[in-house]
Amino acid sequence: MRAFLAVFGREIVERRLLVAASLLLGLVPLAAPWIPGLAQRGDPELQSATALAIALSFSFGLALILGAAIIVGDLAAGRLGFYFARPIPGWAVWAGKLAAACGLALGVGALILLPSSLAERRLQLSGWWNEPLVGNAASALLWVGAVLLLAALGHAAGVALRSRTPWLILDFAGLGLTGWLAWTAGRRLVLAGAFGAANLSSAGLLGLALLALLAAGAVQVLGGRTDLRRGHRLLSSTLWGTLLAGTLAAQGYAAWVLAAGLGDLGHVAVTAAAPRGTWIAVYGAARNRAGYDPEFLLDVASRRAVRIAAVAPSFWPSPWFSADGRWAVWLEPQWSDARGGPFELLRLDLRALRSRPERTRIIYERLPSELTLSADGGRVAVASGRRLTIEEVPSGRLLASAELPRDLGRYEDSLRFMDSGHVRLYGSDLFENGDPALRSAFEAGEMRGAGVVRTARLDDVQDVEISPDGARILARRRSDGRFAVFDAGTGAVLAELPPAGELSRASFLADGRIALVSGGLGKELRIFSPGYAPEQVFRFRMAKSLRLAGEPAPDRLVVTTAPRGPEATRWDIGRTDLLDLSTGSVRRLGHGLLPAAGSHSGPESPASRLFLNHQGQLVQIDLENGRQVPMAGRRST
Amino acid sequence: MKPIELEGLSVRYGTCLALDDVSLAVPEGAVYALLGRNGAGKSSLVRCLLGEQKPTAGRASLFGRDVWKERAAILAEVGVVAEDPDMPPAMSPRQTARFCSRLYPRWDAAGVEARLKRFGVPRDTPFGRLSKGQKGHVALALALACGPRLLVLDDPTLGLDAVARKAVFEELIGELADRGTTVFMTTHDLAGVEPIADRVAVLRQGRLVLDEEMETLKRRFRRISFPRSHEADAARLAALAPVAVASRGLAVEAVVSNFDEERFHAAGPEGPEVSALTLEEIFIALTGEGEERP
Repeated sequence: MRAFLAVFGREIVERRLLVAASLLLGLVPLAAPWIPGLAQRGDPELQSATALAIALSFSFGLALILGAAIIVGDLAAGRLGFYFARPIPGWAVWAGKLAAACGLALGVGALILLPSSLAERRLQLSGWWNEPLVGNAASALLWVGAVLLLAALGHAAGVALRSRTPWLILDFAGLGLTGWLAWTAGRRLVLAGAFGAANLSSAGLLGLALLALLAAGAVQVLGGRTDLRRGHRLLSSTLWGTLLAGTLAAQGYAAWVLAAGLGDLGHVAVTAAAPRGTWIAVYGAARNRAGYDPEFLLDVASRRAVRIAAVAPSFWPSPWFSADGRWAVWLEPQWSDARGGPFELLRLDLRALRSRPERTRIIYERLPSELTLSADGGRVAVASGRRLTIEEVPSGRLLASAELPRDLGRYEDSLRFMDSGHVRLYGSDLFENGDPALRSAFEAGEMRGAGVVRTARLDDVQDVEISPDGARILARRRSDGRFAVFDAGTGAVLAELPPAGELSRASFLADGRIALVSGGLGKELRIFSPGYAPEQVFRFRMAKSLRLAGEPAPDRLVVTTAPRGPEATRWDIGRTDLLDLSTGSVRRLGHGLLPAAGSHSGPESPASRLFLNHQGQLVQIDLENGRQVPMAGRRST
Repeated sequence: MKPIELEGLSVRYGTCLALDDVSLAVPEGAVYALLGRNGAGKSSLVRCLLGEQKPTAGRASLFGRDVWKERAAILAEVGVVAEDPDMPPAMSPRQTARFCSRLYPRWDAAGVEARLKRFGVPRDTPFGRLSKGQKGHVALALALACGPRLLVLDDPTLGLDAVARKAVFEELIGELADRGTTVFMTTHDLAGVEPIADRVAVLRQGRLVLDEEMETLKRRFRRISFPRSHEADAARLAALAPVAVASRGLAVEAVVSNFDEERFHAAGPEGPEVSALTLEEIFIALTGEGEERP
């Protein structure tokens, strides 16, 4: 330790002029408010920001320069023998000099900050730093880590460049290879939306790089001593050996994370379900994979699962199914992550036994606000950037493109193919703060020729739902709280439903009937015919909440109720009943079940029988006996 | 347990063999002079001896301990003067002495001050601004101040003027008289080392071609001159192992390496003229024919 302190102290003393220079530099930020151009900005944090910018620049720059010179300079000048001819252990030479380089770099930064801190009592950085810099342990640790990394990096670069041995070729090859391995490992994770795993992998690699640089420098000094060529050989083999192992491990980790199968999912959620057929899309957190949420297309009949690398469902739900249930399409990020473009449209033939995802070569530069697939899956319509386009999926040919008029709602809510050549767009015009509760109007429009024409405008409505065929709109008028049915093509009021209270909800059923759930404690479910005539009433006196879960068969409706009680709504202890609309009977299916799909599904959709049980598993309900068949997800313990 | 033992030491730089299977031992209290032309491998040998460089093959031991493995512990008892004084250029001799004082258990601070004063070296001038002679004196003063059992001097008088060289050797003689320290020295100053060296070794193109007591060496090497016409003398010369033979007008002059005075004079009362050789003459005779390596 005496030797370490001697080496450390000697290096500090030799570079003591840096202390005086940094104190002088620290005075520069105090003059910032008087510097023309800077002063005009009138930023109250100008002085602190200037001080921090200078401090970090000098600190990092000095770490790199001293790292490259403090040992290699002596070695190249033949002066390192001064240390090795004395009773100084090799580690003390390495650690003492490196610690001095880092100490000087950090000390210079701190001294540059000192005058501004004293003048303002503390650094005013709250505007772009959540916590004050001084006292922020995480920031200080990051600073120390960065300085250490740069100093070790400078040392390695200095050895490689000064020794001029053939090992320099290995250095460049190692840099290229490990950089490529690290980049591709991270990119694969990011493209798959495994951001947590990507962060973990990046942080691990960065930490490993720091350790590898420190270890390689130590091995070079301890094993190479005054022999620069031998030292370079030791440094290169240690550094690239470690980094190659690390980046290969990162590749392995990425492959392992992305190999998560349906059986690895813990809690699952259904993101979409085909309107017809047996396919659904599920995603969930894969266990022990740092928050990776893989998404699968799942055939609930055969249990066949196909992983899709769509935009993260938590960010932008997908995929979309054609009405005939044959095709599923989704968008796959092509370059960086879910938020950046471009995105390619991929599709899967759900009827072919061994089909694999196909690329369509339809590329979108950014995420569209809405996307829909025609009934046969042959066409895709997209609303993006105030433009509506229709493309032919197999060929990627652009069929139509039209600009949205300025007076149409700014936010597109839904897009529907009315028929293969007829697209209807539904949008809401929000108040500026974007609060859905303040939705003022709901609009519908259609593509006609090269433009989009507004067909309906519903003022002052909320809780909007569009009928399965897209022809009608169900919405609550804010003025009187009553639900009304509107014609989406004209905006005309087709019918008004009876008052049902503020917390009421209404939905279209698959056959055109309407279900209205009354508000207040003790729920009533009223069914109206397609002609809006009252048909039936079901009463759930002990229910605090009621949700329509699906229509598993014609004239069959599944509802889930949560009991009344002092606690918040508890769906996990609620009950699920099967209502027979033809006889008016109610039969209990189970308890603690939540409908898997977000909204209720029609009789031909597999989602109408899928529920999430209270253990987080996705289960299919047998309507005859209420038996639950697990489909995905693991039981929580 | 000898202060220095080298066993089969080899050092290779790429295809160049700088040291080739060198073995030697330096006994306690000896002054050992390692001689060799430029590029003979002396500096590589010293670096291996100090644990600064790992030999390609073989082993270097100081006081019976492997110096590559236990360098730091061993060097607490070793004073070193490098070929090129390598002190940090910004540090003054006084600062360097203070730095070194923290590393050695038996540091003689007063001794350093006294020697620097005696050498006339300014104690507070940065090392980089001292003359070559002053740098050499500083290096020697520091090497002697740690109370060494062994002094390793790598050409300590290289580039020094005659006065400075004399001062270095006087200091060494004083140290030897006071403490009996073992000295291992490489040098080109053969006249300077001759009076103090007990044992001499010569490196030639990486190989140790000579390693023996100074007294024996000087006894068996002689210069012999005889007229070219004396064929009998030429015949006697062959038995004395000549290492260099040259014609000088009508005379022949030879350096022999196996001179035996009794046997030589027993062959006849009259004969060739015999004279003793200096260390420098012996060295030239041994190494002068070889080509210098870069």
